[in-house]
Amino acid sequence: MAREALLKIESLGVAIGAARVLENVSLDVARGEILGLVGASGSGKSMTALAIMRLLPHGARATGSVSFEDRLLDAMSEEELRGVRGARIGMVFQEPMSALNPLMRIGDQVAETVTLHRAVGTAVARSLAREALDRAGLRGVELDRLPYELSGGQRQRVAIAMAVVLGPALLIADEPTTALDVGTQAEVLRLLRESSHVNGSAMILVSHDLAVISQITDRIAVMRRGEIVEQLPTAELLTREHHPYTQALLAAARLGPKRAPRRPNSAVRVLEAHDIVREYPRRRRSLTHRPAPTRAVDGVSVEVHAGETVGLVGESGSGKSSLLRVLLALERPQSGEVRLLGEAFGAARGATRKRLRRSIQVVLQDPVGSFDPRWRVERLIAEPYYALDAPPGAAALRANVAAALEEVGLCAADAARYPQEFSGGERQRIAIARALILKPAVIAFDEAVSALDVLVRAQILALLAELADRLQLAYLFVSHDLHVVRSIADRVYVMQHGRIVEEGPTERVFRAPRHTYTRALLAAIPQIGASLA
Amino acid sequence: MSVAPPSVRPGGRRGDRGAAFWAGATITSAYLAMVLIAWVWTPQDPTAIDIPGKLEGPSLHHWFGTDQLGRDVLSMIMAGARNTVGVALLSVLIGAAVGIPLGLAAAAERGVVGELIMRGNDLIFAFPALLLAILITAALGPGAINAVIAIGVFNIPVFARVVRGGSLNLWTRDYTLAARVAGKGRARISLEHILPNLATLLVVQGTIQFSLGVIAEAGLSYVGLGAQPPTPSWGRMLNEAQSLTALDPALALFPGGAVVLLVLGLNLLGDGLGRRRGA
Repeated sequence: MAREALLKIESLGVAIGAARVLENVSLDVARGEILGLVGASGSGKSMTALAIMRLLPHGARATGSVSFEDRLLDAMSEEELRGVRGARIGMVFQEPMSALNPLMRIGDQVAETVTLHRAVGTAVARSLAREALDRAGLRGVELDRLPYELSGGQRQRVAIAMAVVLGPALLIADEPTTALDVGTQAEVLRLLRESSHVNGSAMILVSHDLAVISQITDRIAVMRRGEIVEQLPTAELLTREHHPYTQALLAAARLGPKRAPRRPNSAVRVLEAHDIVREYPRRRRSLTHRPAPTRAVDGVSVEVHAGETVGLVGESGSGKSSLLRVLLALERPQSGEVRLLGEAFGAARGATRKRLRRSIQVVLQDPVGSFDPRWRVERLIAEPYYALDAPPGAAALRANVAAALEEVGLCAADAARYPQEFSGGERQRIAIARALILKPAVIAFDEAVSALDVLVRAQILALLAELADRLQLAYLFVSHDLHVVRSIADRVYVMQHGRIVEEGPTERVFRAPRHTYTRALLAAIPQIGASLA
Repeated sequence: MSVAPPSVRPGGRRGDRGAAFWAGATITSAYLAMVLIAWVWTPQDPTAIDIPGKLEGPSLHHWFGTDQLGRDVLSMIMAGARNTVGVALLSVLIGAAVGIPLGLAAAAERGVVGELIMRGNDLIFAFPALLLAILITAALGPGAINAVIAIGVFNIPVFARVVRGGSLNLWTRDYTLAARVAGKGRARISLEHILPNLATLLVVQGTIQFSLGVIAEAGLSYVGLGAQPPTPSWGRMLNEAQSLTALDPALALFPGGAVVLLVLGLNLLGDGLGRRRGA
C-alpha cells in the first residue's frame, strides 16, 4: 500500500484455553482510512478490536505483533498502553448505556478522558469536553446531564465525544449503531465519518451488517471463524465476484422484497383492534398537581387477516410495544377494544380469555431473557399448554414438543437441554417452537430477529415464511427494521408518536411512501452501493 | 456485538468456590454435627452440679473445665449449641416462610397491596432488631420458643425485601411475559418462574440471617430472655462468667469462642455462596 500505515497487525492469533479465537490475522490501516471489519457473531471481529488495544479477556493469550505509529503495542508495558488508549486510540462500544458511568455527569465523563492523559486544569478539560460534545452533535445539551436523561442516540454521541476528545489517530467503533434505530443509526454513522474526515483520523468500524459497513468505509475485511477470508475496497463490493462467504453476507444484507405476496383471505379477520388508547401515568412532582399521563398509543386501529403477515414499523418510543401488549391482552387500554377471531379478547375474562389465548402466541426479542434458565427446553416449549383445559399427557406432550422442534429445524433430543446451551439463532427457533405448539391462528413477533446477526436473521426469516405458508399462520411482525419488514410482510403499518401514520401493501408503501415520516425512515435504511448522504 | 463465546467453560464448579467457602462450610457442618450429637449424647450431664469440683481448669475428665457450680463446660457448650442453633434456624424458617410470600406478592402486585406490604416492613425495620426481640420476649415471657418468635419476626422484612428486589428484576425478563401470554396468573408465575430463580439469593440471605440469629439468641439469653435455666445457653454462660472474670477468665472464653466461630463460619459460607453466584 502506498499510503503510510498507521496500524499494522501481523499474524495476530488469540487463544482462550484450547480454543483458538483468532488465527493469523494480518491487517493494515493507513492514516485517515476507514476500514470495515465484517463477519457473523463469533467470527472474531470484536476480539480483533480488543486485541489491538491489548484489552483481551482474562485468560486469553495473544501471538503475533501489533504496531501502531511505528511502535510495537505488544512490547509496551501496561502503563505505556494506558497512555495510548484513549489518547491515541479511541474506542466506541455497542451498548451506549453500559459504556457510560450512570452516576457521572456527561461533561465530567468526557473531561475525565482529558485529565487522565493531559496535565490540564478542570476548566480546560471541561471546555475541551464542551467542544467535543458540540462536534458530536450535542450542542445545547448541558454538561451536567446524567446518561439516563439522554436518548440512546445521544448516549452514543457522548461515547463518541469521549473517544475523539483528544483527537486520536485511530478510532475503533465496535457495532456502534446496532442498538440504535435506523434514523439514529444514519446520523451516528454520518458523525463517525465526519469526525474521521475532520480530524484526519483512521477508523476501524466493526459490524455484522455489510450494509452498515459499506456506507462509510474505504476498505472492508471479511472475517469468518477467527480468520480474514477476504479484503477488498468498498467500491468493488458490488462490481466483482468475491469469496463465497462474502457473497453470503452480501445476500443476507440485501434482503429483497417478499417474493410472492400471499393472497390472504381478507374476509376473515383473526385479530383486530379499534381505537386503542393506552396511557401511562407520569410521575407526580407535587402533591397538588397531577401531570397529564403519557399517551403511548393514541387511537390506533389495526387488523390482521387470516394467513396474512402484517408489519408494524416505527422507531423506539413510537408505541409499538405498548400496542402489542394491549393486543396480547396483557394490559388494558384506556379505551378501544381488541377482538380475536371475532370475539372480544381484551375485555374477556376467565374461561373465554383462556380459550382465546390459545389462538395468539408471541415471539419476543431477547433470545436470552425469553426463557427461564432453570427450565429444560421441553418444559419451556410446553408452557403454552397451560391455556388448555386438558393438557396432553406426558407421552403426547413429548411427541408434540419433538414435532415442534423438528418443525423449526432443531432435533427432538434438544428437548432435554437447557436454553443456555443454544446459540442466539437456535434460541429464537425454540421461541418459535413454543409459539407453534398450540397451533395458533396468529403469532406476534416483537423485534424477533433484531438481536440476530444478518446470516442467522436471513435463516430465521426464511423459516418464518415457510411456516406461514405451510401452516396458514397469520403474523403480526413488529420491528424497527424496515428491511426485515419488507422481506416478510404483505401489508405494513407505520407508527409514529403513538399513531398509525401510514398503512398499505408493503411494496406500495416502500415504493411510494405518502407520509413524510415513512419517507424519512426509508431514506435512512443503509443500502449497499449507496453511500451515506 | 458479543465477543465470540469461547468454547471453554469456566472451570469445574467445585474448584472455583474458593478457600473461604470451604472453611465456612467445614465450620458450619462441624457445628451442625455437634448439635446432632448433643441431642443424643454429651460427655456428662450438663445440668449435673458438683460444687466441690467447681472452677476446675481443663483436664482429661473435663476438657473445657467446670463452671462455678462444677458443671462440665464442654457438655454445656454442646447442649447450648442445640439451643442456639435451633432457635436461629427456626427463626430463619419463620422469616422465610412469611417474608418470601410477602416479597413475592409485593413484587407481583405493585399497587396498593405492594405498598402496604413494604410500608409494613418498614415499620418492623424501624425498631432495632434486638430491642424488638426484647420487647416481644418481655411481652410474651422469656423462653426459647418466644425467642424464636422474636427473632423470626425480625427476619420477615429482611426476606420480604430481598425477595421483592430480586423479583422486580426478574419480572422484567421476557420469560415472565411469555408465561403471561400462556395465560398464567401472577401467583403462578411467581411460584414457577420467580421463586426458583431466587433460590441462590435466598440461600445466601438465609445463611446471613442464621448468623445474625445466633448473635441475637446469645444476646437474648445473656439478658435472661432466652432459654431458661437449667437449659444451658451460651448467652447465660457468658453472663455468669462475667462476674467471675477475676477468678476464672477462661470461663468466658468457651461460650464466647463458640459464638464467634459459628458466626464466622456462617459468614464465610454465605460469602462463598454469594460469590459463586457471581454477585
